[in-house]
Amino acid sequence: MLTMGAPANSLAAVSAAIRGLFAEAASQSRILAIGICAPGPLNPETGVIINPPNLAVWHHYPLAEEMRRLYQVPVQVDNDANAAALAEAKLGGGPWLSSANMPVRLGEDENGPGTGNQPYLRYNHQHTSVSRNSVHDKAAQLDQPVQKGQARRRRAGYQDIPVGQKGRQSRRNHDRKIRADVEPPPGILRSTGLPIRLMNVCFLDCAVCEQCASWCGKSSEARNVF
Amino acid sequence: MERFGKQALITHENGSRVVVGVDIGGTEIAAGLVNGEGEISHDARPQC
Repeated sequence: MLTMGAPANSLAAVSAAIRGLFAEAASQSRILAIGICAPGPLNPETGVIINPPNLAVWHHYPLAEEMRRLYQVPVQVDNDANAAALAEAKLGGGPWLSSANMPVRLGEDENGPGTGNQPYLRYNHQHTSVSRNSVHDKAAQLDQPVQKGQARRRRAGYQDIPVGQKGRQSRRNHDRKIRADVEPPPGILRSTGLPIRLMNVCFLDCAVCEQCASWCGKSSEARNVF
Repeated sequence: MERFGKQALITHENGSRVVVGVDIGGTEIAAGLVNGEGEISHDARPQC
């Protein structure tokens, strides 16, 4: 993925990935629709990538529109964490399938994406965050413990995010700007058709439900928004 | 994908129309063909 340079180059990289699926270019005419998950913040209604810190190449970039122009098919873009939540709800084997509650953690995390209020997941029963890498990496990461702090940020490819006290303030300022741009849309979570429990939690001011209590040692009320 | 409607979820690899799923990450891009059950029937992760 080209994270710097011209936006069109990164778009070309996406097209190349799609081309890799087909033996012949002509067979791309078989494409009925394209679904894209990408790091937030983004607007899933318009398909505009707003300003993800790890995809600086796309700043208010109309990804869905550009893809529609290229392929002439419907294109839907959504937050990668939302897409992961949908996949887990539909195809996953988590404990929520028996409890009819899928724990989804929304909020800020000191060790999180650095983008603040974008929805992301933390499968608390596994102490695992899946918010930051690709779907494949998420699947591979499910059994890995959460790694806190700067080292984890760097391992996840966030070297460009400032760290330290000034870095935290910088990220908070960045988060506030994002909030002004867009609210996290939970629409795709609703599309799972499952009673999803959203927990507004902040790693620094933790407010979690009983399912998280064993994870962080705190407990309070969860908010069921659906 | 549900936003495409049920028609889009009826996908096959045997020459008929397919739905493409793309996962854009910070370091690489993965793409796959998705079948009607939401499963990836063929994938490729060539782009970094």
